Amino acid sequence: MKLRPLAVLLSLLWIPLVLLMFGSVRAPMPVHAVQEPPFGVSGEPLESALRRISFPIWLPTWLPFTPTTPLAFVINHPNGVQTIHIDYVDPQSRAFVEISITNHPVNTISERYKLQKVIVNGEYEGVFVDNGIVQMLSWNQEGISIMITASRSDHPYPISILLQIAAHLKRVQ
Amino acid sequence: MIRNFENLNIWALPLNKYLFAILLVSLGLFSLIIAHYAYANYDFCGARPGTYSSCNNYMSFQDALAYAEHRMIDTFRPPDPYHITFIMTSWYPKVYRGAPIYTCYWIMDNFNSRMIYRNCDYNGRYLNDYSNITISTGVTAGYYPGRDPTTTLEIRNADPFTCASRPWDCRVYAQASSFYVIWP
Repeated sequence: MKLRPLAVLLSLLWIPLVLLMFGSVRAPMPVHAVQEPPFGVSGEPLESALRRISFPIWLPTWLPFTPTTPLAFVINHPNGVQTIHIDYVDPQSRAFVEISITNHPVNTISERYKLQKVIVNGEYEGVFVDNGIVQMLSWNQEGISIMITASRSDHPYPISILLQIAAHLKRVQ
Repeated sequence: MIRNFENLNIWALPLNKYLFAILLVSLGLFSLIIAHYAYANYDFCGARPGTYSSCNNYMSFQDALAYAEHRMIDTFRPPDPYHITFIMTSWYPKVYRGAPIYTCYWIMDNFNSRMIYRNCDYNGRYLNDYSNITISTGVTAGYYPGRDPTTTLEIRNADPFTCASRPWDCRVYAQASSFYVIWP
């Protein structure tokens, strides 16, 4: 009977070895902020998504089609950086427009496609790129980044349509 | 008592119910550890100044619309203790079910609070169409302990049209890595 504590102790000895082997317990090293993985964000109604962000949002008052109910995704990057994607879809014509807003300026770079510089709403420097699947227009204004992504099944949206969507964005919060 | 320990033959110990329960709990803990690492989608990677390193980030997701694995390998090099240069990123998709799509890849400079890089070259493209993708990045982020730069790749489990018909099944997965300098 007196050997029971020792037996229990011995049966647990392998746990620290396994933890060491898989790296959960490491030698002392500089401390780093642990990032909560932004894993698997579900789509949600626009109204509830807007309640979870605190930066200015612009929504379209005109689109080249009549969309179904929009779907939104809020992505939490490290250090309080947030991106909201708002999808407007017309399933019948297989067309969609996505408005993505990030609460930081973003530098858009393309390795494979030519970036076309444009002036958005008469005052902001923006870039337009067509990757053969979607057409994208992005620019920074008032410390945030806005990107319009659009696509339709028959032929690409011209830059003029994306600029027209940009011209009809209205600040809602 | 000490003499008893010295003469102990552990293989001769009776495997009573109490011991068996402890072993079961231990086995459960072991399974949890393995499961956690198998599905981790973020990683912390470090390198010494002047050396190249690769950050191997594995993600697996399975939901109502898709089942896929994705490996993102970021190659980086700290030129000095206060900066990290991103050389390139390589992606290795493996789709078992559904048709997930890429959106954009981001590099965040958390020292200067700036998104220094966003590449959407593969935005809207299906993972199924590729076995591997490599993109040159070539940007440098500031570094200080606790303000690590991060890379993030967003993958959607379906295209917007599928999402419009099944909005509650639609998800965006963010595969993220964090980088630090191993100071001498």
